[in-house]
Amino acid sequence: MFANVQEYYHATSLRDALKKLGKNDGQIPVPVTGAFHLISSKLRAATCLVDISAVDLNYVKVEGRKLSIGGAATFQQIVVSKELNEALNGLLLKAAQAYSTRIQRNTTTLQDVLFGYATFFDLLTALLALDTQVTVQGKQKRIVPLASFFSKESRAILSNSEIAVDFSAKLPSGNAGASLQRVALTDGDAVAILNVVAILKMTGKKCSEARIAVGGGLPAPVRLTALEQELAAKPLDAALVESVSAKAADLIHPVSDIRGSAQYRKQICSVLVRRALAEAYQFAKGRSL
Amino acid sequence: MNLHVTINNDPKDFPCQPTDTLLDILRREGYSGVKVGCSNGDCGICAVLLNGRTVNSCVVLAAHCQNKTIETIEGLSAKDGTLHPLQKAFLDEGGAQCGFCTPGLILSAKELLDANPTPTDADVREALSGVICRCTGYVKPIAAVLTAASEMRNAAGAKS
Repeated sequence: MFANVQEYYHATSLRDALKKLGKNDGQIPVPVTGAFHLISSKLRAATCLVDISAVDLNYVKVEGRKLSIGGAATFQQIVVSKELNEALNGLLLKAAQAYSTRIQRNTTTLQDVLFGYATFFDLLTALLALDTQVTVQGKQKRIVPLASFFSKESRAILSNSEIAVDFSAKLPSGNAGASLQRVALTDGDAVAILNVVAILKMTGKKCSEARIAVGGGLPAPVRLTALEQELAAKPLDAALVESVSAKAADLIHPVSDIRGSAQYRKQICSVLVRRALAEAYQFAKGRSL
Repeated sequence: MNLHVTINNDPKDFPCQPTDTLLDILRREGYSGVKVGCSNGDCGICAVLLNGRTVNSCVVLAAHCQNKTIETIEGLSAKDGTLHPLQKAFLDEGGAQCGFCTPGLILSAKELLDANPTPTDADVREALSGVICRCTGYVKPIAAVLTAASEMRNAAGAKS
């Protein structure tokens, strides 16, 4: 994995890290935070590892409705965050916890997930549903939607000389509920056959905003915007949820692999979307559909 | 490069290549309680505490640990040989079983009890889930952790 590495550099600040990563001296530097196995494909060519774990990017914050997660914050930090436990009935906490075990979560960061392009994480599906914006710092700073990293047409890429410093999202206000549904070979399987996140904001009987994201068994997580539009501004009942969920299967293009066939994934997609919407409604309204 | 770390409260300096894993260094320096398992970050047998958090030492580079604190199973007992309550409970409850995964289990349990002295059965199961026991017996290790937690609470209560 590390055949060509000659130097291990401990960055003392973000500026220091970016200077080292941007140096054009014949070396191939890559940023690391500790989850080396997630970025193994990037490490093969690397000659210098720039450790950014001591740079101040390991925060998890909720200020008002603004959520911010530093690129070097570990998944376990998200799991134990009291603020996230209270936000959206613990959606992000559950999504982070769905990944493997505490030992793995102690070293796994969103920077490494995005840099290694490991797209199966339930947390990515949840962050996609929240319209998360990623602040990427390289020679220049850019703020890009997380969705653009998963876009088929013009995919954003995190290069070797860049760091995903911050993942930010606005939490919905008012009567909002969220749900993560996943099917996996075992409860502890880090990789879901399919995961679905639904977020509903209710105004009276009407759904004022719906967000549905699907991931795990797809090349990258996707939003089901067509279904979101069907739900928006309509009174929500079991019949509408049933009819909308039934369409979910045709909107995804899953893979076939050792965990399940594409056909199976399509079938359970509708089931999981229905369950996610029902649970999100329950959290938002305090009663079932 | 020179690696400076504190292992089991002792400051140490070792020569180290940038590509050495923490497991390589610990085994080379005589910390044989750190076992070699899958070498792929999956089984948790090689777990150690890095700044108080469990990590799979087989997939963490030693250089990443520069100036950090490491605890291995060798550091749990007192200098006079008195066992840590977790070690004692694993023996008393028969939780040690074949012994190969025991260091990983005990260190995972220590991380849990350091943060949560009153764990539930579910908390213990979750905390130990990163260590795969080839004896496939988790009941006794879980009982051992709960026993140790209880004894540590009693000891703390007696002191105060």
